[in-house]
Amino acid sequence: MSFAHLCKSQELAKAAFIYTYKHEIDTSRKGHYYSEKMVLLQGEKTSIYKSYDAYLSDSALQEKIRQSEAEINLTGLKISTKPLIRDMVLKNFQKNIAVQIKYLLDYYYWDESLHKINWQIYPDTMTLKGLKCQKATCEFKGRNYTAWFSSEVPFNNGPWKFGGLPGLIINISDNKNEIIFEFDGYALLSNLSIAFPEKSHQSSAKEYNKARDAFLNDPMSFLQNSGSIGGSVKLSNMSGQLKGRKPINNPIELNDN
Amino acid sequence: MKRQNLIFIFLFCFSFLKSKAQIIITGTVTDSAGSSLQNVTVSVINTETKAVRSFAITNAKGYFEIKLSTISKSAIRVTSIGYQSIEKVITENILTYNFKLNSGIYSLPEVLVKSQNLVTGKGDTLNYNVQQFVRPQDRTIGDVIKNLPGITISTTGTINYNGRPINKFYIDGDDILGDKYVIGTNTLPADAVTTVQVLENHQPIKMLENKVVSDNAALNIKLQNSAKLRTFGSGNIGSGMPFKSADARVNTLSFKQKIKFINSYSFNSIGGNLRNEIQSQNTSSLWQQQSNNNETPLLSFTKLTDPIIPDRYFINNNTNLVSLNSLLPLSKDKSLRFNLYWLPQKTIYDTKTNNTFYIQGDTIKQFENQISKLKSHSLFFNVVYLLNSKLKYLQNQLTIEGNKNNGNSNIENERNTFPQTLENTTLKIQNLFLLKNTIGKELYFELMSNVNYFKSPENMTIGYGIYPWLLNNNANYNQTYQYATQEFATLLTEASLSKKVKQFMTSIKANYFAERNTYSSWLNLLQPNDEIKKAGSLYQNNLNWIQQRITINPSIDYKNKRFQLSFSFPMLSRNIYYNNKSAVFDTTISRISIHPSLRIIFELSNHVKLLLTGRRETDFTKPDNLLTGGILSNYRNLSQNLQNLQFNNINTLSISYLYRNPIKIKFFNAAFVYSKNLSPVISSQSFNLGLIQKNQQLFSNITQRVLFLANFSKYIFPLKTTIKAAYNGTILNYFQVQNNFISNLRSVTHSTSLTIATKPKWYFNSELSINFITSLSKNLSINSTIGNPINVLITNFIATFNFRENTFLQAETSYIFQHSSNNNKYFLADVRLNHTIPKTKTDIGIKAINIFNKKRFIITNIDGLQISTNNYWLRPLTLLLTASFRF
Repeated sequence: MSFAHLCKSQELAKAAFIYTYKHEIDTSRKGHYYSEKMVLLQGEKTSIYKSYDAYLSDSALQEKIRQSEAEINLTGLKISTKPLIRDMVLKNFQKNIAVQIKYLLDYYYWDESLHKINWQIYPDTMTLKGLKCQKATCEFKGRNYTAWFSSEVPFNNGPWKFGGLPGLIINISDNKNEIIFEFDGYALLSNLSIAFPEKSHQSSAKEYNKARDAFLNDPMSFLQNSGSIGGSVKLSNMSGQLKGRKPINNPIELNDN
Repeated sequence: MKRQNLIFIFLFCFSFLKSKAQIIITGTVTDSAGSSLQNVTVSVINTETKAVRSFAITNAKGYFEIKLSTISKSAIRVTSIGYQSIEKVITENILTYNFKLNSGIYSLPEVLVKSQNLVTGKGDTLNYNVQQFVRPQDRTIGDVIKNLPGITISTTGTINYNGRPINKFYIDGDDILGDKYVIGTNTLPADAVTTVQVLENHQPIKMLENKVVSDNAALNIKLQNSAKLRTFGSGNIGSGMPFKSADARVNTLSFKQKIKFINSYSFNSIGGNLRNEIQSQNTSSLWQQQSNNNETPLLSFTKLTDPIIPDRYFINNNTNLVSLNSLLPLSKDKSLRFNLYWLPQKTIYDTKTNNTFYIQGDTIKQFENQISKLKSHSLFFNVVYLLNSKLKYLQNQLTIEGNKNNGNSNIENERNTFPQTLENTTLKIQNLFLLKNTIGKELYFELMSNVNYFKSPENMTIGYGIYPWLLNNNANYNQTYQYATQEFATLLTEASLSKKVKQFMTSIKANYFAERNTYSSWLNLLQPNDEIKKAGSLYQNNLNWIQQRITINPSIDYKNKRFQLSFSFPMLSRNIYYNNKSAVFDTTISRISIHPSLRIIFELSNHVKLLLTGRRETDFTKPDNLLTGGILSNYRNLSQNLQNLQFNNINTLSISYLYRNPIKIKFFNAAFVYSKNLSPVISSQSFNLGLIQKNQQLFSNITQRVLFLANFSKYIFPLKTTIKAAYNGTILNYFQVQNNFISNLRSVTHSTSLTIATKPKWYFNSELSINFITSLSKNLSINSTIGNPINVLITNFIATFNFRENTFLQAETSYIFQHSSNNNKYFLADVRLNHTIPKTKTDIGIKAINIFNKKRFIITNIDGLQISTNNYWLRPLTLLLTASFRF
């Protein structure tokens, strides 16, 4: 799958679904969640899942730059300072792939197969946000998830890597309640294109994980080794020099399956 | 209990296993052309519970395979974005199901739509998501704005938000059009806009933000990013029967960083009122109006008020409009703006009227049939330099405006049949300068100047020797010529100093105003021997008017989160000198008056505001009311005034309640306005052989007005409907002197309107408006009503049906019913068929206006003791072929 092809096939989002993503990052601190608003921009052939907070703060920043707009009273504007999720998942339904886009000073990406999830469907129903939902379960990347999907919203998609059910996944959480995706609502963000980040480099999961761990382990030496701060970083050049260690106590993906 | 449960589960599993003789259902999904569709969800659902039993997603060949344990009470459902979903009941022995999907527009479930951001509010800014309100037939942003809940557009194009006119119209934050913004709403394509923003409490001057109370709202049109990158345009053309019926328009627009412009050329001969596009819509900027209130012509044709039907039915015109508007941003805060309009227009009026005056002891009847041809040229040029930064505001605006009008008309009235002509030109040059600056941290300095020059010569010819018994010593003569010229020069300078102390803003303004107006008029009579004779000094004016005024205006503004107060206490010292060479008088008057005004805004909650205002002013009769010499302002009216300047007092009190809730998309406002005007003079009319003579008489004249306004607007989610309702009630108590009888009159008017705009399905939308007006006039002096109450019902219904994605049929009908002595009923209708050529933004269509080919429109009005029945020409059935394009 070439990145150039993805760029060409950029399409406009038909709908935007907002989710709250909650993650209990540290198992020693039960009930403490990292939380962020995420958005799933859904097109006909592609979709992208990324941070909604980052989108909002980006657009707020753009507004600030365009200060010549007399009407906007900027004094009330708050620009979020919390670290935001910059990773994205771009799905291409025609090519049957889910492109993982990760950020580590720069964007890196690699392909995974789309919705390779073995779902079990149950007759249980529940109404969430006014939508009639049905239960489904799966095991994914080392966690057991329960999902509620709604065939009233005919997109076989969901937040993050989830999808492949006969309707949009409204809520999904693992059975330990460490990972939670909750549907917030529909936002009409008109004319947003499902776009790949501008500067990005092809990589692989293995290569990226090695580099990330190295970075989290010793960010300063990582930056020195990469030659520049904020510049383009070639992962393959440095992954050999860096030792890996898992710094996140409770990652979302516990294994590769 | 637990054991029981276990047994139950066991049994359940067992039965499940037992019946698990797997059934495999296969099939393909293609589009209507037969191409296979990938990634389509095919689910087998329980027909009773609608729950999904099993599902599959089609592969690249459109093939699916679903494993099932049972097929009883099952249906197979195919859904995909952009296609209409299909559901088929599964029958026992059929295991292959092939589907052909027809394309369709996907709409989200209602509950989701309910949660989406149609309207969002953040602080003082309200955002309307344009794409949610746009209908298939909407082309310009004006089409969309008029259907937004909480916003209305008047027939002349003024945009009102929650019942009040907006004070600024921005396009992407830029003020390109000033207060002549209708050209913007008529040219900006709806699909170039993302959001319509209402900026409440809008203070257009950046350095006064959060400092000076403003209860005005501004509108900002936010553009799509793609619209800011290139110059684009649109146009339309329509032409057809009857001969020379046409409508054309080309617009080019650009909103690039370096230059922004809206240029437009339009032509119309089918009743389009292009003059609205260049008419000032802003009534709130008082400093710009300061010197304009005297600039009204002295002579006119007797013209009926426009009827209550859409312009296109009764305006018989031939209009061209060139409008060039550009804004050059010079730097972040500086810009230069140019506006140029040229409007040549020909209009024909064909009207008939019957007037009855119910005067005590007498009933006077008049009638008039008029056919008038008016030609006008208007030219307007405006250049504005603006610096608007957080620390400094500087604006200089130079305006040059010229108008040339001439008209010919043929009159047939109860006394004679004759031609008349009217010519007038106006020239106006105005320079406005406004500087606001900060001195230190909390001191604001403001300097303003407005220099204005206006000249307007007018002349009118009446094609026979009218009123010889009055004007020519009872001797017949051949023609009447009335001349009049007004020339004004005014200067206003104002300096003000403001200081902010905590939440108080105190300021003191000092202004100096000087004006010199001259008025001259005379009446010439063409005698049978072809000699032109002046009608004498009784019909001559040479008035010089000089006014100097010094105003000291201390004011205080206070603002906190829930409460805003603004109080000003202007003290005016006027020095007026006027003389009239013809009537030989010289008068000097000095007068000191105070004009206190108070405004309080309570923010009762996030959604509710209460606004109280009170004002007292002392004003005087306009200088043209000192024209003691008679002026034949039209063939029917002769005015002659007293030479005394009279001062009157105006007291106004208003209470407004404003509610808006963007989440519920609900708006409500109500206002109660009371005003009392005390004047020592009254205008009196006397009727004499077809002539109405107007003069001033001393009389303690009290006029009281009570006005109640209420507007309600709501968006109803499940119905996708915007409802707007409005009520407007006026009670006016006033005096009128006719034939020396003083009558105390009361006129009561109620106007109720309801508009329902709905788009329940993508292929259908409609707009229904119902307006019911009742007016009643009562003579309190003799305690009797004048004629019958006049009730008018006006309904307008527009339905648009898209029978294909690219084709719509629109029907517009108006039904007008007047219940009066003679019941008038009108049914007017238009039909329009429009097709958008796929993959282009080009439309072609046909349009029929007035399909029932109604010829005349008759309506009865009441005004004081006068009841008039007006009869208007209507445009005959007009058929047009139309095309519109984008580039």
